[in-house]
Amino acid sequence: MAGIRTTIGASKPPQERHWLDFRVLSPRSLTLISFLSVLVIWEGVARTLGTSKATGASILPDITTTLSAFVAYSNYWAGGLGAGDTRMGFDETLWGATLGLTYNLGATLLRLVNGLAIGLVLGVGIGFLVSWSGLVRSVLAFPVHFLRMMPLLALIPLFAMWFRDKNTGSILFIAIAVFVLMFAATLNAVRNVSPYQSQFARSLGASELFVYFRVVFPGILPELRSGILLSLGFSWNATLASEFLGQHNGLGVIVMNAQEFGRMDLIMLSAVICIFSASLSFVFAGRLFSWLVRWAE
Amino acid sequence: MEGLKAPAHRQIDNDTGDNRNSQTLARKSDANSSYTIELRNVTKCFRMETGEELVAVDGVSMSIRPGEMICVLGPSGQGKSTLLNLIAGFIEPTAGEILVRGHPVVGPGPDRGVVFQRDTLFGWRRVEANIAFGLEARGVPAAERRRIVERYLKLIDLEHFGKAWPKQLSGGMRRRVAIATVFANEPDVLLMDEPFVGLDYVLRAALHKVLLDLWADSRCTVFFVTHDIDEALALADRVLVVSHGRIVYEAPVELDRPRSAEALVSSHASELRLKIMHHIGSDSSTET
Repeated sequence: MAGIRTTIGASKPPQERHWLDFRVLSPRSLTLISFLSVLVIWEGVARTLGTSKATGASILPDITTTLSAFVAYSNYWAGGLGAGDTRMGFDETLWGATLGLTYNLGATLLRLVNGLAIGLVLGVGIGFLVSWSGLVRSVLAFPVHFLRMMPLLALIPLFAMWFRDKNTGSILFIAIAVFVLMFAATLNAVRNVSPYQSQFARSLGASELFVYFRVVFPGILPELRSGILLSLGFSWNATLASEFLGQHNGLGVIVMNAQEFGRMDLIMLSAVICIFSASLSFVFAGRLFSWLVRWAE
Repeated sequence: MEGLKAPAHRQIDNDTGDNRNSQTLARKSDANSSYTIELRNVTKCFRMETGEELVAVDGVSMSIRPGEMICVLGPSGQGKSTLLNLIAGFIEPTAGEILVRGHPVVGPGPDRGVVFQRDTLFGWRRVEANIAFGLEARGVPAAERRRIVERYLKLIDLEHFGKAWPKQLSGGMRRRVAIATVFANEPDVLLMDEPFVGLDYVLRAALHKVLLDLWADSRCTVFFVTHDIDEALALADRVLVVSHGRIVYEAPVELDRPRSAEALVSSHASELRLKIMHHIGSDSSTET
């Protein structure tokens, strides 16, 4: 009865909430709480685990140790802009560290963006052109599926061998991985376009070419969303993996170096920076894509 | 041409003869033919997945005069939409001949506009760009396009929605845009495949008015498929009843336009409704 009354617009009687009822909190404050909990858990675990008996180093660096590792990025700056090369005897400074981090993170991002862009354009472009023919689509369905199942990360050494210039090698590797993903996503998206819209366009006097480029192409865009976000995630993996295997700069190189010197704190800090950058790139890509297909339901 | 004609109007209970509605005067004439649409013994078979052959349209012949509004009635799955798709050129007949203004139908074309039952608006185009689609596809200059689009936005009473995305419109508004898109292209023939299914009575009545106004304005020939007898009586110059792929009944609707609610319950309308129901089958008594 009470339910009926509320549906016809009578004001709701104030309800008492249980103290555990999280609905009083806004989604934003819930996010903040979960973020703070992660920090608290991190600190707790770090203190509980303590130091390794064998090496004397902490097994999981706590938050302050991790943050103070920042200055070590100075060692990855070749000197200039007011900060000296630490290999030449200059001190580690915050400014040097900022430059070192910016340079290496920039190198990583450049690799990622180049590979992703080439892969996206070629994957969607060639996938779209090839999809013109339903026959080609059917013929390619199997090999494309096969390629998707391939452990792509295992191919990195192959690319490193094919291309002397390791940077070109890793960019091409990212591009090819993204190409395969987007090619498959595009074929699938074209298959799912409503035939009624094409018929409608044809009955309005549009040529087949006009229909394909002006109706089918915009029609597939919303469907490419998951493919693009998947590609972005994969690009992050592939970029870092290729840097682990041999590059002269990039966040992955710093991590490999830090491992050699047993700098757990620097590894942790680099991981945190990586997570933040990747999350930011996801938010940015998601927003950009939402704007592009703002017309979609 | 006449020599090809198969036994016309097979099994047709034609109680109309040459009695024509005064409203359906010839609106467009063509040197080749006095009919806008002619079907000559058209048959369409589909092969089912089970290997059986389904005869969707079975030797249908009919002629539709220029400017006439025809309503094709019948239960679902009896061949109404197949007939429409054949005239639109989306599918080819297994046998027989379809002529539009004297020319055989080869594929879809801008002379035959289609309004579908489902929503076919282009979501990535704003309302005005949707209405301009056919004009753009046919290479009408931009200034001319703008003028036509503005005129149709006014006619469908959506003047302030030109810049809206389709997703921002209600179901009824989207139907109006779809209809305007087709009319803006000035087709000779308008094919409508149950375009107002699923809309409430008030909205339907409003859309009927929009359609009739645009039709009066353009004088095109309309082939309107529906399963709703009242809709057919409100709109049609002539109704055809299709059952099992054949035309089993045809009659003119001799009611003056605009048709009032009173006219639609007059003795002529009631008599016609009864005859249609009889030919559609007993199921039709549930139609409203």
